[in-house]
Amino acid sequence: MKYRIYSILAILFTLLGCQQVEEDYQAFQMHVELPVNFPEPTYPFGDNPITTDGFILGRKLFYDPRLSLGNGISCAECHNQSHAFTHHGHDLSEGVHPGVFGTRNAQPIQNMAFMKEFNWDGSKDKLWDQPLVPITDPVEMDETMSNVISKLRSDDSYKKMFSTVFGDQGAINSVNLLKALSQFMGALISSNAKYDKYSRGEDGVVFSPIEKQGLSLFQQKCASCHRGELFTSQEFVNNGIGEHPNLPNETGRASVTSSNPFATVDELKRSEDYYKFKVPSLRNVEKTYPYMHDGRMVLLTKVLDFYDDDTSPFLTRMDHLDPRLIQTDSDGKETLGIPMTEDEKVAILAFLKTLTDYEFLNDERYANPN
Amino acid sequence: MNFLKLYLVVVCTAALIISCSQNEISTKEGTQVSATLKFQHSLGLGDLLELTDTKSQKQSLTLDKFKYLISEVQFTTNDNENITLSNNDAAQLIDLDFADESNTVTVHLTDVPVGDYKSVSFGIGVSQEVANGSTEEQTKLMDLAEQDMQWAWNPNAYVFSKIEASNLNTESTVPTDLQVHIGNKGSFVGYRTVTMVFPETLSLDSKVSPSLHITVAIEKIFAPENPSKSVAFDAIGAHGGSSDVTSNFADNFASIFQVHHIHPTEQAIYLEDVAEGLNANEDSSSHTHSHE
Repeated sequence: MKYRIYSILAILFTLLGCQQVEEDYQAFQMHVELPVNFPEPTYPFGDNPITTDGFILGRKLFYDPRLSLGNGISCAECHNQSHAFTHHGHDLSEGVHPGVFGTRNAQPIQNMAFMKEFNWDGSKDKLWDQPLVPITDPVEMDETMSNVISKLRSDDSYKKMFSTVFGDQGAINSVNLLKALSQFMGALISSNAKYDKYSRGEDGVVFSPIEKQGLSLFQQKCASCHRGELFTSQEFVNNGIGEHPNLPNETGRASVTSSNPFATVDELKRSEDYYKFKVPSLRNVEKTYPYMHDGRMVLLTKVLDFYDDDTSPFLTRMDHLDPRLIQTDSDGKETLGIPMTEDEKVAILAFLKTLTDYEFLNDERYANPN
Repeated sequence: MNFLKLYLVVVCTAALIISCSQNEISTKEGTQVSATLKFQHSLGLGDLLELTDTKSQKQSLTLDKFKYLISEVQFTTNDNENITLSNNDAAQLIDLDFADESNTVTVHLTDVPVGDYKSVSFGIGVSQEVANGSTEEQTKLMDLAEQDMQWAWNPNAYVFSKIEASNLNTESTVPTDLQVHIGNKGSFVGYRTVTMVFPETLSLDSKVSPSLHITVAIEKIFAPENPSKSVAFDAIGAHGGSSDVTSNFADNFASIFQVHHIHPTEQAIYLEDVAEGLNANEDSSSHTHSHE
């Protein structure tokens, strides 16, 4: 008897709970499901659990230009869903100031919940405070957190949403804003590409012979850096890209690992981390052009020509070039790059296209709700 | 069943009455200040600072900026029990730009339990543990950091301290200014803990809000009591410098604080009666007095 009453109560509460969510948000629930073929997440689910309301607030913030100086651009300006949250074709991106560009290619926002470091140089090691960089960087949104907060505080819909998400601690402040953005970004998981369905044996998905050949070649020639189901070892490597003549202040990871916040470019050139960048994930790589940390290569075929050992463009022999990109013969003579025939590159390219996740690119829950 | 209903009604009414009366009390008296920390600095902004450079020459500089974040405020009882205050209450940004005419910045601490205490400690900056820990516990710290104490591009996004001074030397065409900003950067750990032992027992109870006068000897950062840890002002910061020098700088920074004396019996004051925020320097309820 007792139990029956409890179960009726429980069902009632569940119904009420569901109904409320449906009324407010057109019936969708954000469940973060960790793909079975993925590694352990780095996202702190205990500290900042991803809830439907938190995701929706984070999404509103992500698409809100009030995060920038003069309300010019939102995060989505350079992180466009249809291109796996990159800047549709731009090598570098203009921030809020006309004609002022950043120095790095906008990276995709996908599978952040599994990453140890963020940004090309790994300057952030926590997802929740990563947005401080784009919001405050003078070449990006050039805004202060306190200005953003005061803009949001004058908006009643934000007041309501913050208190729904964070309850008693629901003030509109930096930490809550960043936590909401983190919930949105943490929920953006791309794990339903053709490759995933093939490797998980779902929906009867099969690879064509050339895709199979490409996968096998990829595993031999690329996977020591673009490793595992995230297609990145998350290492910082010098890939022989060579200095960009127009970006003389670029030092890569050296600026992060230096203990001197005022270190000069000349000092950082002596660092073993000079011009090292994070190995990017190759998920949705077909859609995230242009490539490299400064977006200098537009076509994937050119990237493969760069990494092979006998067609131009060629690798630059920088001091800390990753040894996996150096072949040394018995006379000690070095050849830079990876041996790949033209046919092999075609097969690898066919495989890379199986990493495109159309469910992710078209998921309406991730789109601008406004 | 009736009995159960009656019981519920009684309990609910009682709860309502109790919660109402509690609210009344708290709005009437407010949040009691457990203790007031008065950081009196040896210099104010614009004051002259005589420092030694790497060539052992004396240089005159004027102090332009001096500010530091404090976190993890912890009181230790006479029985060696540690009471750590929440960073969301007790973390502060001490900034000479907001000091009063005696170069003093006043901090009001609340929620220290009644008891007898022998020392207080705090961190300068934000430890890696706190920065990597609970986000909710960083709510106030992040707000404080927005006052130009943020390295948005650094894993630990907090700047721990800043000191800047302009060199007055007119003989050199390129005199070296002082500019040191400390944080956890690369492999360098800039976080330090300061422990100040009280000259007498600090007794906290509901009737008093004792004030602690803390002297902050800024010049000791460069000329500490231990001469082997002296720091030439131009050996760090913009010119790189060895990590030993920067480490000495951070160590020295933690040694400039001392509790000079305590006013143990000052009448209780309430947070609501003193100006909100970190830069409150007026303190009408405490008496005025001179320092020897």
